[in-house]
Amino acid sequence: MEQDRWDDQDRRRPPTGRVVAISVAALLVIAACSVLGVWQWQRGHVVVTEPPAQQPITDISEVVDGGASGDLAVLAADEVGRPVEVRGSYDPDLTLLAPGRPLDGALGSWVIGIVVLEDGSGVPVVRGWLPDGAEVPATPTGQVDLEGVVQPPEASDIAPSNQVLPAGQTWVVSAADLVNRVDYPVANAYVTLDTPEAGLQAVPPDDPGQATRRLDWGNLAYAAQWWVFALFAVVIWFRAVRDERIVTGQDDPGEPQENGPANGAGGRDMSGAR
Amino acid sequence: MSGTSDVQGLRSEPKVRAALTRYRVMAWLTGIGLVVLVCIGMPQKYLDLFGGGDTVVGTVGVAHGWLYVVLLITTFDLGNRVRWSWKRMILTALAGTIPFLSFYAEHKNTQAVRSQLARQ
Repeated sequence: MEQDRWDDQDRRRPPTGRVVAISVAALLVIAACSVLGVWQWQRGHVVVTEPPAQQPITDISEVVDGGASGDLAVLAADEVGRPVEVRGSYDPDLTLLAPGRPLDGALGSWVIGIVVLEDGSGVPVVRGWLPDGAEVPATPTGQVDLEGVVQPPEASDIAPSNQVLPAGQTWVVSAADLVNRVDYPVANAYVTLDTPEAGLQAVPPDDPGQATRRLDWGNLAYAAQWWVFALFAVVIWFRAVRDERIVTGQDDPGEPQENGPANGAGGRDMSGAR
Repeated sequence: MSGTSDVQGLRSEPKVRAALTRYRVMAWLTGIGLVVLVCIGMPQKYLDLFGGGDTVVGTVGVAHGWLYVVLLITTFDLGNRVRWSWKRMILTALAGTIPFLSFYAEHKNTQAVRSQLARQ
């Protein structure tokens, strides 16, 4: 019935050709937008894995805090392996060696210090690896600004032996051990330095940490936007077909104020959005 | 053609004015976002200017995408109320994707709607 009325109105100039052209163009645009949306949707669902080592460097106090009793008291699982910056000064009275540590096939020791932060708490730092028999470099004095990788404290069961060590040595890098040697709180983690002092070699982090997995929300948002554009194309398409059939070519896009419906008898209600 | 005011049927002028305001706000927000994106964000990300990185693209770019979606809705709403042709709606929507042209389109559209309202 609707169709009949349109046919009646369109007697002067059947707009079939234009309507077909508009429809083809509209369908192409709708298809393109939909496909782009699907493409972004798939891109958004590719799970991105981010090894902790690739995360931006952060201050050690953001990760673990020896003076804290809450969340920052212990290292969270997803923070292990993150690059950190440690600013403070070495405790001049504490230098420990952890013997029995291999590096590149040779046996040596880790040189351990504690950097005291501004808030008075200490961060255990593995300054580097020292070959057996070499002399321990002097502890750097004054303010230091170090970069390294944060590691969880070592458990006592990794000690290669339970033999009692001479003073100034320890089997494991652990706050539980270190708090007995100093009179300030010590973070329950340690940092292994990227670039040790001269005479020491860098100790690669034992635990690279867990890669975090996430969806890419940026791409999912683009997908939604492409589908909105497709929807807009649908709406305009319906609108265009209706206009073409009703107005029969008397529509002038440049001057909308003169857009009276040519044969307004149809009661062209444009106020309702479609 | 029958009587102008009746045919144009802009019976609810306040609603048209409100729709025009909504459209203009979105046109300006989207236009500014696009200019910032193209003039600052893209050089920052691809030419390593302004310190490099993708902070602007990451923030303004994401916001601009959604602002443009809202602009499409307000464009269709206004166009419907003042009986724009579908071609004008498309041109207005496309103009919103071209830096600076969006401001010109906003200006012309506002002029057109205002003269349409004044003629009633």
